[in-house]
Amino acid sequence: MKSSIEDYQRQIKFIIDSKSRGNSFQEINYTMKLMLKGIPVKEILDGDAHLKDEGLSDKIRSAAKDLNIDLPN
Amino acid sequence: MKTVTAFTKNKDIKAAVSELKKDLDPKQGELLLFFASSCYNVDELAMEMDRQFQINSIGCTTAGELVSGQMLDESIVAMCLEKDVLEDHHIEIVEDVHETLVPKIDKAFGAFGEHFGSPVADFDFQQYVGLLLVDGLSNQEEMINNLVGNKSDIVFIGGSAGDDLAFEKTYVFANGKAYSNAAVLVLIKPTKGYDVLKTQSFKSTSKKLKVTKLVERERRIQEFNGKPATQAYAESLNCAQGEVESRFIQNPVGLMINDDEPFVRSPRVTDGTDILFYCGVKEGQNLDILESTDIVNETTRSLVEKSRDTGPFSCLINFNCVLRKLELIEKKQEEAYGNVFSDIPTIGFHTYGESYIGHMNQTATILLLK
Repeated sequence: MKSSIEDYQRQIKFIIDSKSRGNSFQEINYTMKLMLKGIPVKEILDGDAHLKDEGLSDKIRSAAKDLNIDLPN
Repeated sequence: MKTVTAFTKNKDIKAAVSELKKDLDPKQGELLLFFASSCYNVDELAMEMDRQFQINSIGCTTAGELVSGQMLDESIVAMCLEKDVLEDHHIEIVEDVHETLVPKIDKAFGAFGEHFGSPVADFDFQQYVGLLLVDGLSNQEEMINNLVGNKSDIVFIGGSAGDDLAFEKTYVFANGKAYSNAAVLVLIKPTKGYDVLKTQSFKSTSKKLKVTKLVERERRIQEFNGKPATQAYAESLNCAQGEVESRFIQNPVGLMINDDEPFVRSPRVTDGTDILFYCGVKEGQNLDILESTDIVNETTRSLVEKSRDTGPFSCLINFNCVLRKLELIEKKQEEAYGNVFSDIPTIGFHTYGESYIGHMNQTATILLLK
């Protein structure tokens, strides 16, 4: 099933919130870690209409796995 | 107790290390940091530092050295971190960084956990900080930073070893040995706390380049915005394609965490219409074209703000990009840059890339210990 931009937004927020646990310094750090893994965090959170879906779902799932996070279905 | 730094330009290694030892007091030291020009014999230097100081040591070769108040070349700079600054530490060496990195980083973090008595993933990032020194010609910094960042909340800060711009071989040092194709990781528990400073002297032009085709392992961008890389870069700067290399230092690109905080990625050279970079980029990344501002002013401002907000600090370790050094030399600001660090015990070196969450260029990543 194809994911929507809202799904990506939920997943990204879930990863960042789970890892940073409300700490603003860590929120920036984990945002950057995801961006450096090639995930366009800002574009996803801004709901960028030009965002290309290609491989994005896999990238987010792989990043979650790297960071030891179980994404909710 | 004030942290003491030392430097020497003596080319006789035994005499040079004796000079350093005379200024530093290894009896009080927990960890010796030293950064050395590649003009020294690395095996002999590592061994002699170990023999004379007889405490744990780490370091690397450089593209120039930094010590309180001065920028140096062809020297060795050193600092002993003492108990009042450093409560505990553990050093891990990751050899052969081109092979099976995942289990090697896992093993290093396992050893950190064993040393400190609990899994690193459970550590409070405000009580621990990491240092990371990597072979500057390994091209493995992105991978190492990524794997290190996966393991915990702890911030690792550091730089890539240099070799005085020869680009032939770089070395990291740990406990009496010199290693190439390796990384040194140190997990530190500072006695009174720490802070980090990442400073770069650029503002965004708001012009965007999206990476649309690349060879990631070669740090080679073939297309930006669906056009040949040199064409898209030249169009954005309104210059001829033949002129793009002359714009690289002034106009690198940045992955923006917010409007004024780039992670700088510096173009190195063109190859046909491709642009090769000093650090990695990913397909689909939106990069801002940056414009350089004043390194001395920006660094001074950042350091003053940091000292005001979270200081005072006992000492700092500065991992300063060699491209910043070249810009400082071009603008005849070496002395002024050295002076930025005249009031605080400082050592550091000019790197082939800086580490802080990821790998980056044209930045100073600085660890400040209270």
